Amino acid sequence: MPVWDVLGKRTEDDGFVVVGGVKAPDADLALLLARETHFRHKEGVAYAVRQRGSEELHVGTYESSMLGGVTDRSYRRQEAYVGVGAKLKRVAGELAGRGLRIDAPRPRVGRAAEH
Amino acid sequence: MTTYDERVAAFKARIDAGEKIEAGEWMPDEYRLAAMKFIEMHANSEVMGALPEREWIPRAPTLKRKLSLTAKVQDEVGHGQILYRVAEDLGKSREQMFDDLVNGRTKFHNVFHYPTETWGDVAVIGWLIDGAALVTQKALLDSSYAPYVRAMRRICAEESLHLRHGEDLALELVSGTDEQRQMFQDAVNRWWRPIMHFYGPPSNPSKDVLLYWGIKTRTNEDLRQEFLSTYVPKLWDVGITVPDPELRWDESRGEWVWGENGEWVDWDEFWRVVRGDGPMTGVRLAYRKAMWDRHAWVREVFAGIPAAA
Repeated sequence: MPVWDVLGKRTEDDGFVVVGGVKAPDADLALLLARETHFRHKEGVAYAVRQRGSEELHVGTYESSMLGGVTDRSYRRQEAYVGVGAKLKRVAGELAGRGLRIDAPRPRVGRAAEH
Repeated sequence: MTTYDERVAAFKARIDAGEKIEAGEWMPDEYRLAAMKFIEMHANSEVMGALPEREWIPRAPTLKRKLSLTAKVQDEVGHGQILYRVAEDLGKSREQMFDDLVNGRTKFHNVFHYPTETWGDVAVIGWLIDGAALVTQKALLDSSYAPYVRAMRRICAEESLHLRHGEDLALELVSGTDEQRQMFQDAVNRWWRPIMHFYGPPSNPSKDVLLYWGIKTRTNEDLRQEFLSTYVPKLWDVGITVPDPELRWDESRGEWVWGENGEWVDWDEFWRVVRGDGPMTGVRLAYRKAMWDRHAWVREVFAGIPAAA
């Protein structure tokens, strides 16, 4: 079965870049698989497939606003959880107030990134 | 004429210089086999890793949690699809990889061989195990194999979302009733040893073929230390204890001391589990095999469509 490179544009100003690959018997099914496996989370504004070894680009027909769905599925994306960091601080503060925080030596803030 | 050894040396020099290898380029068999085996195991872990959480979709406490968990399970299976495609280019068909997986001939990550007993386990998987996986996966963004790096860019973006989802679940439990806090604490206690096993035994970097070829770029212990630095302080901040009595931050050494010689590690158990003798290995592989067989018609339909001219 043919291998198809999957290409995407992050924004309208970008060119197509290879983001992955799928195997499919024809371009239509390759586009369907590409959309489901690589553009489900609104990762870009346009998508396409190109059979490996060929120069011909098959561009997906979904409008950028439609790509990734039009109903509220924010639970699939980062934006649904933007407040989690603040929630951790708030909960930690409340639990410290109840005397539940465990005080023990730990790396200085930012140390984790050094490993 | 260039000898095989000279080609291998030139290939290694490219990797040492930070160049990336593309699918279809010439590569030594040692590189191809090491990359294929590693990426295949990663793909296996994604599709098997969906199962422990899938078991909780019908029992999710709210519609919001059910939607989020369903989307996450879909993402994990999608990661498997993407990674099997990457591994296929290295010389083994997806059908063969799946056949080897469901018949117990290849491995998947140790943590996915264990049962999920309560909703607290879902929070531990979503926060700590996804967190542990993300530490590993971010390190793979520097891998020498370019198609794997492209796959990891996408996977890391989704895993970051999963991590936030898991952290949100955990915060809900630790800030809830005493019973909810205890549920999360019990889950941490049960999962701590598998999490410490997750990175594998400390390895000798000079003998690690994956490090040699730049397929991996960091050692097991380095990754485990980053996990401990990132997550143990957060657990302590919300009053959750870690069951390893030897765990402590050693400021003078600049590293965590953990019970690697005590009861909180058992490398015999680790090897037994990853070789297919974990508490849930048989059940989950049987389920995967049943699904593989049941959906054979989809693959047959695809295979029956004439290939593009």
